[in-house]
Amino acid sequence: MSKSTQQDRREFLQKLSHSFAAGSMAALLPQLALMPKAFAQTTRSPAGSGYKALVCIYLTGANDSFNWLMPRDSESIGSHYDRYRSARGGVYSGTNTAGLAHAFADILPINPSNQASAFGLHPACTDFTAGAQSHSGIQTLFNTGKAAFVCNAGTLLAPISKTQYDGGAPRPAQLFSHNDQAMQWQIGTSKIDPVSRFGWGGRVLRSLNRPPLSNGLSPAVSVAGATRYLLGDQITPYKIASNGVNTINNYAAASNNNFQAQRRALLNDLLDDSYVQPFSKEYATLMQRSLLVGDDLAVRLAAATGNVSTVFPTGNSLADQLKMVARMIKIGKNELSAQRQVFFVNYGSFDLHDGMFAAGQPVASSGHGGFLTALNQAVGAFWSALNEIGAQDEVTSFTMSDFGRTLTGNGNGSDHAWGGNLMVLGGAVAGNKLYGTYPRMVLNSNDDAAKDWSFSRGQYIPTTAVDQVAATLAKWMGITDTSAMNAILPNLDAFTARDLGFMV
Amino acid sequence: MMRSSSIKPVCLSLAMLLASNAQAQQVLADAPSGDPALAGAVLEQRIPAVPNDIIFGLLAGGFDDRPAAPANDAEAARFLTQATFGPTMTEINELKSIGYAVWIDRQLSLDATLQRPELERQVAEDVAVNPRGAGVYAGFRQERWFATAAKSSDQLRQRMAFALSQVLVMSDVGALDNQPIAVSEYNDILLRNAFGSYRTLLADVTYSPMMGRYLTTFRNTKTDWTIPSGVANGPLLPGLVAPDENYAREIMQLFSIGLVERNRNFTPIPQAPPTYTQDIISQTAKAFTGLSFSCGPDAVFGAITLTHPCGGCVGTACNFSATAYFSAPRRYIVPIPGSPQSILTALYHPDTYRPMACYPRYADTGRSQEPLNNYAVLPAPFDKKVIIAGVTINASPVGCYTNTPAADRAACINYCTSQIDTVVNTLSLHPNVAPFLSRQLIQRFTTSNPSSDYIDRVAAIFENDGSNVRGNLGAVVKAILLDPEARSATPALEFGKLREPLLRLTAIWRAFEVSPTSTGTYGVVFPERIFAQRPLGAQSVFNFYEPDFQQAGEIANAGLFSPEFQILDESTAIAAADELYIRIFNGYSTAAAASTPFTMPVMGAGGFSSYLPPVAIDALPTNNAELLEALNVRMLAGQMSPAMKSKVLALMNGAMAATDHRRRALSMIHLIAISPEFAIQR
Repeated sequence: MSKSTQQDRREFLQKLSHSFAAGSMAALLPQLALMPKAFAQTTRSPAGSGYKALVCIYLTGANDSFNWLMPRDSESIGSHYDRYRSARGGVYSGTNTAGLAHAFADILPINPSNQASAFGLHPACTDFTAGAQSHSGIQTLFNTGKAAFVCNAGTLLAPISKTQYDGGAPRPAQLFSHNDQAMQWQIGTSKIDPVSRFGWGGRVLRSLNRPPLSNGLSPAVSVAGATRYLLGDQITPYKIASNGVNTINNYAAASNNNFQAQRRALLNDLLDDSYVQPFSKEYATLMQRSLLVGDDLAVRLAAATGNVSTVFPTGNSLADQLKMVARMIKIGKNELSAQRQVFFVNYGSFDLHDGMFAAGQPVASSGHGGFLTALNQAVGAFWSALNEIGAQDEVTSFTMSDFGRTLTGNGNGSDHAWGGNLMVLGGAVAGNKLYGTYPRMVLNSNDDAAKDWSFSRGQYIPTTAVDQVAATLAKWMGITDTSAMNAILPNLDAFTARDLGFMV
Repeated sequence: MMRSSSIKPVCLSLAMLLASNAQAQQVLADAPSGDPALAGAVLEQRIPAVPNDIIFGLLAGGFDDRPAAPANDAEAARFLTQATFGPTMTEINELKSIGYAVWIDRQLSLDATLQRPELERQVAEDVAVNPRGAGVYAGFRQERWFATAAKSSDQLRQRMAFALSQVLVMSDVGALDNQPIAVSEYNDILLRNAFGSYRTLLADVTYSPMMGRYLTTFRNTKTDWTIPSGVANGPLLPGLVAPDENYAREIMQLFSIGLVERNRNFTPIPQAPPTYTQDIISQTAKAFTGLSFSCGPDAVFGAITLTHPCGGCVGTACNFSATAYFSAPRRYIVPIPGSPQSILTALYHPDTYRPMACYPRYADTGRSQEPLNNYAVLPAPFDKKVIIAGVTINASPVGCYTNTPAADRAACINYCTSQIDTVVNTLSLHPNVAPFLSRQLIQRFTTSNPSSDYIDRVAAIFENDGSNVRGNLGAVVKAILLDPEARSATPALEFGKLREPLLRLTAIWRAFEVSPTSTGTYGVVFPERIFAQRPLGAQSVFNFYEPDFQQAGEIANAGLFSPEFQILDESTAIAAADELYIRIFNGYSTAAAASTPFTMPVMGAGGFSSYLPPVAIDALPTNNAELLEALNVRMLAGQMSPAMKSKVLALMNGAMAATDHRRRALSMIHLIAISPEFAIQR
């Protein structure tokens, strides 16, 4: 197939996209060779469209998030910080290497407007420069109302107290298991049917009836490989590497080397053939789409319009991924008429059974601090890039992680626990606040009135569910219909609040 | 805790099966020693196997026109694509001459090419002179796997082990990433049992410390019941810890019966409740307690001696020793002079892979852990464990604790292993196993969407191989390959499957006699990055793809399953195409337009080590049409469409007419390798 036929195909795809907006897909174009059929039947599109995107930053291995967001009221005996310090075995130091707490003076102050006392962030969350460019860190983003934290969130089948837990009340399957908990976070609920295939990111896109973009690109894009989070019914995430698209080697249509152009033509021809056997047909379709979308994106990414001038930190794989997300948002908005996109990146492993601190190294940038520094700088540079492309109010980023970690240590690290803190960031976030309930930082806590429940090592029972976090973000993306929301998050009604209120 | 009183038809049939066993001639096959407390201990019947024609007869059921041997190379290639890692001309010729059944029988009789002994030997030899960290030796394990897939004679057994590794999933992603030797031993468990008894396979898997570490039965903590008040006959209270339910869940959900009650042909039984409840999982988990490393003697590898310090215990005393229970088999660690760091090699004492031993003090015996009430039987219902099919495991007849009297030790050890055996035996007898396992094995060998009848015929063989033996995996794989649906020359349109990525690679290797370099390596290091598939390297216990995955679009709309599509996307499709190009052209220079010289590839510096040797490529026909036909037989089992033939020939006779034979052959091989027709196996 020649280049001109490829151009025809691109125009064909653009026509498809416009038809979706018009809602008369099936009548206009009988052949849907590259598009999933079901999209032709639905006509909903979100009210007040514009552009919105979610960016899921998955912290693999379970982030010790009670050392990311900490109490910082005072050092007096009996203060919240004092309880935190005591529960974590004292401040880490050369003479207390088993301690996991941060020194009061090291914690970066934040003053959430909806809390009676002060809190603080890990020392890694500072402003910083990359190259010659200054960026805000998470502390500044929080203090300027762009970031918020959801406290003690986790997987739940229903709210559960410690007494109920001990009495055998239902709790999520396979607590403390990385794979299983990660799956529940990505599916958005612990009430999973046995073969839950779809993640809540994919379900949101499906519910919003988001077809592929005008160049065939899926509205779901992962820069971190295969992820259940983005899978949806008729939604197949597009996987892109942080350094660009995968275009096939040795088959360049423009190359005379080793008959590449001719072999590419033959390959295109074979892929374009009619196949009756459904598996051959699907392989051909997928391969063809991969080549077309890949070639299309490669051109866009190579142009200045597909790049950002924001300087990202180097040697930081999360920063690399988020830079690609920024470029894809720019391209999506400016060139592909994208309206709703969901992105997935990940970083880790945070599974610090040991190595929470490194002897003789600065706390801010070593051990757990090393990971949080990378996170802080990736997020901070991403925020600057969103400013550059004018999308800060349109893009909401959030972290997820397998679970929180034990308050008490095991000698030089923490172990698997349950509830933890996550961050949401965006112009549309009602920032400078803590949502949910920050735990009292007590071991074996059993306070029904305060809803403060923990086990012997300070493993906190979550008081906000994954479902609720997902619902709040889904609503911002445009899911306003109750039954649509229940289809995405089938267990949402087990919890009181369907909207945690952290989006403006 | 009380079970529902309604009797499910399936439970009845299992009970009937148990009852009928009692009446037939029986042989105890490493079963518990007749402890009456263990109701439901189940047994196998063994009578010597019967000849092939009876198997054929059982399968034929009206279809009697299947050939006993392939009529031509193409048919032979098709069978070998299903039964091996890829057809070779040698194997094609042999198969044509001896026929399908004899070929299978020969494969069933071949010794297994094991992995662990050779790998352990290599690692021991290497760490003695050039110790490296464990990650390096994980690469050794993979090398062994790829070398075996490429060249071993026991192809069917290796394929079966690979298939089983995708059902009874254990992976080195996680706890075992430093233990490639143990991981290879797990592979050997699958190899040794590939044609044997399913029950034995399930038992060997259950007792392996590899599965124990992967799904946490290893040192799984039971609930200790004690009298905290210290008052004799005071209230007995359970401790906070409950046993991990990981294995109890997965052995049922994934390794034996699945979640849905099914008929023998895999169709779901309408309105049946799920196969098990959360409560059954919790109770079953209690039986999977008390397991830890067994205590063996020192292991000597040349000048290296590795110990497993079990505290000097001897014999059954070890099963009651806390030291033994908690001890770690030693690892070979080489200090680095002048540094606080050491080299943590992959050489461990073999107890890291030998079957786990049972330590009754740590097993749930249905009794308290309290001397004050003399380790009394727990109050109901905690004295019993009610597992699948209503099978009940009663409390131990004697208390089992650290200082159990010598006279009671045997009974305690027996209890500890018997309750595990009861779970394994009961599950292996469940009527769901036959369809659940058969369907998945068919998906690994011949087609993603077997008809209900195909599944039923294979499941019937699982239930009774013709000699009243249940769970004969050799008979099952034979049934899968010889079934009329698999051998039909005119299969239904939806018959077939997307090839697994690793099988695409090995098919090309074998078709063109791949050669490793002089060091014997094949150089497949991180296949998961390209193919999203790596032997015994799945990201989770759910394997690389799920049996019920349905690719969105026409496939899902047609109600078809397509597991392998779950890992095919823009990234892997293109990455695989690029990788296959490198491997096909490795060593061959395409710099000049009219010649394709070969230079032996050098491992390292970005080079791959394996290559398709010139002797194999140059032996292919020089005439383009004949060349294409030769490739058609080797790669596509002769099924290349006329349209594809004419298009490929147009290029070879047109723009590429003046290139040399090697260039044309290699270019055709790659084009076929990434074509939609090769992507599928039919």
